[in-house]
Amino acid sequence: MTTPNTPLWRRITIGIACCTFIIGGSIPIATWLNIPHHYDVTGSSLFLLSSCFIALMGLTALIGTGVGRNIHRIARRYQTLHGWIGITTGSLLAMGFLAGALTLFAAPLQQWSIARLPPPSPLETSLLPLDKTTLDTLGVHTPLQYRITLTSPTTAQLSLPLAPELPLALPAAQILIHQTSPHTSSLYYLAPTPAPSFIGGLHRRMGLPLPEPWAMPIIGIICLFYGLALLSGVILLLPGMWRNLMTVRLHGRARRRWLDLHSLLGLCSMPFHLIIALTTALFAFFPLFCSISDTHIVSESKQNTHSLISPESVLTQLHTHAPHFQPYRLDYILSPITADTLAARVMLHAPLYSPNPLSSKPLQTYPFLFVQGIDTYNPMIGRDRASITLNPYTGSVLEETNLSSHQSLARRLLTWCLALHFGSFGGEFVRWLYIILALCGVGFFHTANQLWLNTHRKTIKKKSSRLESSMTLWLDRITEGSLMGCLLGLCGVIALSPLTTHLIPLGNITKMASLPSIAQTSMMRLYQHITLFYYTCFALSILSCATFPRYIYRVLILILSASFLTTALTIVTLRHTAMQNTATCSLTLALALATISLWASAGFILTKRMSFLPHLSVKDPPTPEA
Amino acid sequence: MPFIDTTFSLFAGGLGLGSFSAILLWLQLPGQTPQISYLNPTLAKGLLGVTALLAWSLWAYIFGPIGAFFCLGGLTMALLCLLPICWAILDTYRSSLSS
Repeated sequence: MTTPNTPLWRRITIGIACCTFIIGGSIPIATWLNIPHHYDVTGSSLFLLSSCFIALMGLTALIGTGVGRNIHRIARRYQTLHGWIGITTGSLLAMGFLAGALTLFAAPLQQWSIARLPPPSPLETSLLPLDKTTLDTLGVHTPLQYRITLTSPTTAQLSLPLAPELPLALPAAQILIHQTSPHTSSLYYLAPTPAPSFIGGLHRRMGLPLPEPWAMPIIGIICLFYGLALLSGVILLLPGMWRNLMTVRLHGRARRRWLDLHSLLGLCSMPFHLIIALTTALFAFFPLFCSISDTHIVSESKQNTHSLISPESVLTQLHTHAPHFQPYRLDYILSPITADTLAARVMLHAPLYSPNPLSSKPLQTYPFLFVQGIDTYNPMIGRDRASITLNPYTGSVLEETNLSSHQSLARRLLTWCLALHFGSFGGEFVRWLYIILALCGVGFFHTANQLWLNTHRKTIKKKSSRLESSMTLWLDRITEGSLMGCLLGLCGVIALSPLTTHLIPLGNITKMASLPSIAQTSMMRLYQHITLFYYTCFALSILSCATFPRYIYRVLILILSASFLTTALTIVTLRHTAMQNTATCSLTLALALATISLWASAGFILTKRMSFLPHLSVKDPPTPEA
Repeated sequence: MPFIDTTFSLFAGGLGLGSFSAILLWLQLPGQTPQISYLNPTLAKGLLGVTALLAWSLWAYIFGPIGAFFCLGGLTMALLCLLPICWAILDTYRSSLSS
């Protein structure tokens, strides 16, 4: 297929064709081998993941074949490709990693943004179903769903979600019921902020302003090239750079500094980056090859005359069934959620949270009790997403595919692959570890961009005594402008999150009947406003990067970002919700550290500039590196 | 001491030992690392293995055997990324003071 003299572009074209064949053919082959029949979505996902791995290794091998065993010649062949992949995908990956660091705090951010909730009720007073007086006040005869959120082992918050809440979709507004006694309750309308959903979407799309179904194939291709760049980077390190692996020369030539930092960050966090590349390719390609169409859904539910099992009994039963599983939410779903089909979840890129086989029926066609929780001893399929489905009347187990301690070997293998992407194991410690690794990832991609620009700047300089070509000039502005824009936008979205959450006593709401539709429209509108705000910040950042002198631009963005975070922290501290539980304490600490770092960075740049000014010569203008 | 939680003690012990083993690994890797003359390379490698194994066994109690392995791997990766940068900053600061 390829000879030693085949040009690089032809090798890449053949490689891409082979990858398409391997990845695209994996699902039909899996179907032919009857894998979905035996292992459901789990088998197909593992098969696709293996195909992505084979495709990646094959693509890397194809580029380097036919040059003999001379390591220098092999490295030279990968060098150009490595650089070009870096500069074309580096900014997107850096934005994806930056947003990814924040998605680790998605659930705490939701709680953090809410104004102080009414005090939780003791668990034994959370009697279900609700009494007729409360339901009449709500204008509801038969509620579709009850939610009990555990705030401590003995207290809970009871609520009625106004819409089904699918994984990775917008959060649902809910009616909070504060029970002072079994027959006295005060009601509140709670509309959570869509900011965590927006940040999650931004992370999945790597900052691309495209609808998710359009962005995903691009993301999949980027991830394969990202994997190729990682493997080729290791090959590039082999000839001699290994000897200086732990050396970081901060002084001297800028190129050497960027190279030292890039090699160090890349090689030391290589396993983390490889698992991210492969699992992201799985998320991106799975909906493309898994075609499901919705059919007309017929409700099969029947009203049960039995009383619902009490939360206390459920918790006692679960403690015996899975001792490491710590439930935090119990959803009594009394009517099938017609919107929750596998096709809908595939559209939301969350098919793997579904335990059911590939069918277009609702995931559950009968009443069920969905218990979500955390498990520090076992891996979870997503962050805080260990779950079990029970019969809401008897408490018998209906399915436990996502209960880590009771999984089959195939499901456990897939869970580990996904847990390594989401950092959904090891509890709070791994959350912090993943934040450090994600920020190191941002640094890794930024150093890659700077290294490429620096190398190409020097080449131009030798040829025509110019510092910058138009290509390096614009790429420099775009790479820095986009990363700083992403930082500014994300800080702004965090500042908006407490302002976009609403908690209103229900007595102040007159149109109860139309509340669900109003809540959904309002949530959609808020999401659009946040999107508009983020991309305005992003565009302004790129524009400012092209307009202002670089140090003014950097100081401006850093000060603005720090101000956004300071505002958010001040609002939340004034509302007394910054320290309500361990997760929100973690988030407050993380944001406080980020704020201090941003203010310190701005101060550092200003101080450095002030000390630099007296020595500035008119004949010798500062280079972009300076 | 009954007021100290067992899980916390095991976690803290694992964190200390894991960090120590990551530092020992950093010292063994090529490049600009602190040169500790009294640390025998064979002894350092042995110590690295023992501390890593101890850290893993402490964490296996809290995070499970596979979870402990990945936690230890993650900690080592994070420290190997940060330690050389911190050392370079310290080295630059020291050289600026001496010059």
